[in-house]
Amino acid sequence: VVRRDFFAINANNHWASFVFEETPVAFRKPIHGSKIDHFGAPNYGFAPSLLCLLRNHFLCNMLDNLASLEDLIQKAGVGDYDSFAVLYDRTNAHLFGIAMRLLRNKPVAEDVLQEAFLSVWKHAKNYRCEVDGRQFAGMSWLISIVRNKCLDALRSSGYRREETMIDVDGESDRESADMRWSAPSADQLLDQSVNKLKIADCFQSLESGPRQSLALAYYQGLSHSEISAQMGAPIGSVKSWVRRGLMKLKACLAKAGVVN
Amino acid sequence: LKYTNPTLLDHLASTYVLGTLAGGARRRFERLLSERHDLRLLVGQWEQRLAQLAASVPPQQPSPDVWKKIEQRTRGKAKPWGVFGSFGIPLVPVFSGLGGLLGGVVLCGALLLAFPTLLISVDQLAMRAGERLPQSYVGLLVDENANGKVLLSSLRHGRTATIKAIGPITPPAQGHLILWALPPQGPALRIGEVPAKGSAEFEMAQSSEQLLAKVSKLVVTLEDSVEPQQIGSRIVFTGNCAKLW
Repeated sequence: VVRRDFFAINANNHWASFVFEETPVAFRKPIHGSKIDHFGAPNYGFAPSLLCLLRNHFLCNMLDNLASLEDLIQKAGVGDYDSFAVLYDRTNAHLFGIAMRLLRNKPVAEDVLQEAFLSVWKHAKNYRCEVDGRQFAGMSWLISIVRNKCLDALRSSGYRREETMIDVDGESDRESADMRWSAPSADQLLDQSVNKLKIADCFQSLESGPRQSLALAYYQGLSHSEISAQMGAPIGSVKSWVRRGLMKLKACLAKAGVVN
Repeated sequence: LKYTNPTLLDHLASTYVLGTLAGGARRRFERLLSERHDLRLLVGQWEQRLAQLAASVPPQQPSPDVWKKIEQRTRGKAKPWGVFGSFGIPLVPVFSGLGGLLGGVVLCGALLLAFPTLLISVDQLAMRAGERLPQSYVGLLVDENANGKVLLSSLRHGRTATIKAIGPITPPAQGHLILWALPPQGPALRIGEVPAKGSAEFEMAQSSEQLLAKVSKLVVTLEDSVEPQQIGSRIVFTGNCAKLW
């Protein structure tokens, strides 16, 4: 039995530390060589299920809070509703932030979040945290689901980006206006990310065109033609910039050992 | 387009995840995704890479109604046997529909084999196994020389009393030999007529437990009638009543 200290985010998104004893065989290889991913969940695969058989809810909740997102998704996949609820508890703020960033409309973003989690519940059984020896983080899977739902909403015929910036009721107007005023730009977000990932030096050599195109596509969900219109550049150039931005990101992340 | 060039496939996967692959190209790619494992792997890798960029997006709290709506739409569809499911055992299909019926029968059978006392009492089980006699009231009546003459037996919760002649009994020239139970208080209870040989069964008004629980003495009297209303004074055999448990 090994005694370890874990840090995890509890159901209220507060940092909490726990001391937990487990057998070494229950450990799983950490994802990306890091003990705790950037969303605060430890990436160890110990299985709380055995103890949860006792239906000790306090213990279960504590263990659920310690469980990795990958474990929670997999348990949700076999019908464990408690794990699904903990998964929502732990990730909803981050995923909703992404949806709000792309859609800029609270009711639509909430609808998208709702649809995304319905999809998670339905398809969690298909999630694999490891394929062909490669690790796939649960949060990446969740982000992809939310982003795809957002992109579907953005591309739908009924959705007009300009109108959604201002909601019909006054409170939402203020919220939208506040958000526009305080929200960092796509460029700023990209800068913050590359700094956080410690790939700023590598990314520095990327020109402003590819950098801005990548940022607008990722953080605002703009299409090639929308980026072209916003930047006042030919669509062919935008396509080329996006491609160069992506290749640079791939190279920098591999060089930093974050994702190969 | 031939989707064999690794560079092209990687590019398509990257733009698909980023969201700039749009329209018909996106739909074609999605169709390919369902068929090709290598493409799913590429997409998974790009999801990993681009998800790193999301770390800088400020989190925001959705309204509590979102979870309520999710719960409303998923709670009813929660799969039962979640605990077992945690171990990856696909019990859910087994316990639904016809499978559920068959599963129930098999489960009940297995439970009865494992825990037979669920439906059969410990005593019945022991009796069937030949380990002990059933819970009964029994009585042995003897003559004035202490020779066994009559045996009374009745299951504790049964309503049938069996009277058996166990020794040679000379039938009276006139009258009938009637077996009585004598409670500590109250009138004697008539059980039935003692046969000259063999055994005879009698239906009682209540169960043995109700009628004989407090009875310790039994007597056989000679009566003029087969169904006398009260006990006579001509006692032929006497005995004790005992609980056999």
